[in-house]
Amino acid sequence: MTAGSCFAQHVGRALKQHDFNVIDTEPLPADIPDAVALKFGYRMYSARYGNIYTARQLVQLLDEVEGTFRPAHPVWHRGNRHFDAMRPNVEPDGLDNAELVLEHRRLHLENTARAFDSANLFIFTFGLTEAWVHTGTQTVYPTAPGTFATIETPEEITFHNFSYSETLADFEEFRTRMKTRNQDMRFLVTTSPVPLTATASGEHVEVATCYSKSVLRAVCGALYQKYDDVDYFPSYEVITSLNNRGVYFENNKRSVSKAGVRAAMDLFLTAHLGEMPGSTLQKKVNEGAVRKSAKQGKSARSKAAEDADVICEDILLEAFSR
Amino acid sequence: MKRILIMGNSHTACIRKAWNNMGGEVPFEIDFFVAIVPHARHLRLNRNLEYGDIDNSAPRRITKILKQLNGCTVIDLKKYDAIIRVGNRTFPTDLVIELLDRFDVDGLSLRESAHRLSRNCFAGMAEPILHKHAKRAVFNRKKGWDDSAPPLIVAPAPRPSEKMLEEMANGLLRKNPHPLSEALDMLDEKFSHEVRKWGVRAVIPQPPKAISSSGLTHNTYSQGSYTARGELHNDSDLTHMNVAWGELRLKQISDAVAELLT
Repeated sequence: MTAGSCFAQHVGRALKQHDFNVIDTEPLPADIPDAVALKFGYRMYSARYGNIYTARQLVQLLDEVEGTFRPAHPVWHRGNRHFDAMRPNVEPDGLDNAELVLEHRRLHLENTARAFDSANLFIFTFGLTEAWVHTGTQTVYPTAPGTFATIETPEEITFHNFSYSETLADFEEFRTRMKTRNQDMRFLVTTSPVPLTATASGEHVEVATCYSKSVLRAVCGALYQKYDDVDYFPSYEVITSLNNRGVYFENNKRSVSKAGVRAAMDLFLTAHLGEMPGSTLQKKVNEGAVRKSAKQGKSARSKAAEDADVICEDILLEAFSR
Repeated sequence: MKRILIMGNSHTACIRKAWNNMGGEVPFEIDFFVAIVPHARHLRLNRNLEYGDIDNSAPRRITKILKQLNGCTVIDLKKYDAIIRVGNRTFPTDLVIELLDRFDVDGLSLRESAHRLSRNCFAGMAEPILHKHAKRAVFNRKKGWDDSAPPLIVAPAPRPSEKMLEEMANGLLRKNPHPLSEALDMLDEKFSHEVRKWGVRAVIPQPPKAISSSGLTHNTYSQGSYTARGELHNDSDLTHMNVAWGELRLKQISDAVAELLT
């Protein structure tokens, strides 16, 4: 199963295109076009949880699935429309009332539980360290009140920039608890190469990006070194390596180009097609497969679906520019 | 006597058969023009309102088949007081069955499904399809149907036989098909709204007598249906209807034309 920040959508899509059995516990009929499905958060991940940017959000999702946690202010509103605060991109126009949002969420959590229990590989793309937290309950939200919707008391929600130790501890907790639920579960972690467009940290966005990516990459490294059942995929390195001179970014210097996505996914598939032995990927990297794959990325392989855009919440970016 | 043209695809067959049986009871002169589905996509309506202009990619046999079915290959719509477009799909019923067999939809009857679809999401899925089908009903004319042409009435294809439900539904719809009926009614209403925006003067609903509680057509109406060439369909055909259905439809058409032209 796949989860993570918006770059993680590329991973899931590439795997599906190559006939990996990617779990989808909230599938739509195949005749529904991707444009409609993605607009409502379907076909993005193994359940309809939308982008999960921080490890804390991931743990919190597991808490909710296991019934040990209920978010503070789970329903936000905009005018007379009501939104799931934990996954703002799945219903762009909201629902009719708060009860409906909670009922949709209840069913979604049941489907997420089925994904957790049936997967034997969990692929997670770490995206951000910055998040918005409810001070009383420590509920983490993917964005700030006042962006896509709000609550009556937005002052209860404040900015938090997760540290290395917090992020590592969160994912370790997630891993431990997932292994309890599902003993066969293995993990593949990666860091999103997409830089921040805005930050609420008060730092310059370049400084904030460097901090965030450094923390996330270091956490991935620590997890890979510490656990036999955790593998690392270097999408971050493929895209951001100085040797590539930024060629894998679009003109806005933020969005990863199609060639970049292809290079990263080619490497991913080269490493993982077949029986997926735990250390194959690292071996490929050591052998210079990153460079080889980058060259292959320039070839004109046509993959229509691969060209589709991923869904990132611009409202999230807005949140960090506040 | 007013003269109307009933034109469409294979779903015209049952209406034509019905007219043969009860033609005298219909207070209009009726002509038929039929183009079966794989051929219809090669036919165009030109600026002079002549339908049957065949594009270059069409197989040669189309001309021969059009002549066999209609005695001509081109029909001039200007000669008629009203045009009845028959057999257009409003929405693919199989897709609705597939969806509702697994999903509850906000606003429709609920069955405690593990999957729930919002009303907006359902509408988001339906709208592009309804739009495409509505455009087809007005011959894909960019500006729709205008007053310079005879008034256009749309009589959509029959809903498939309820046997389709038995064949396709394995989940929620087996236990409770009620939301299917609600969804099909809702989609028909949206289709009607959409084609009216394109200048269609009236949309004829499904004959109420023929509709079962599931919202699909009673099995009895799909038994003994005919092809456009007048041959019997086999029993596995679930989408075409027989003469009894054609009679219901012809009566509806007659009423709609009378209301429009008087």
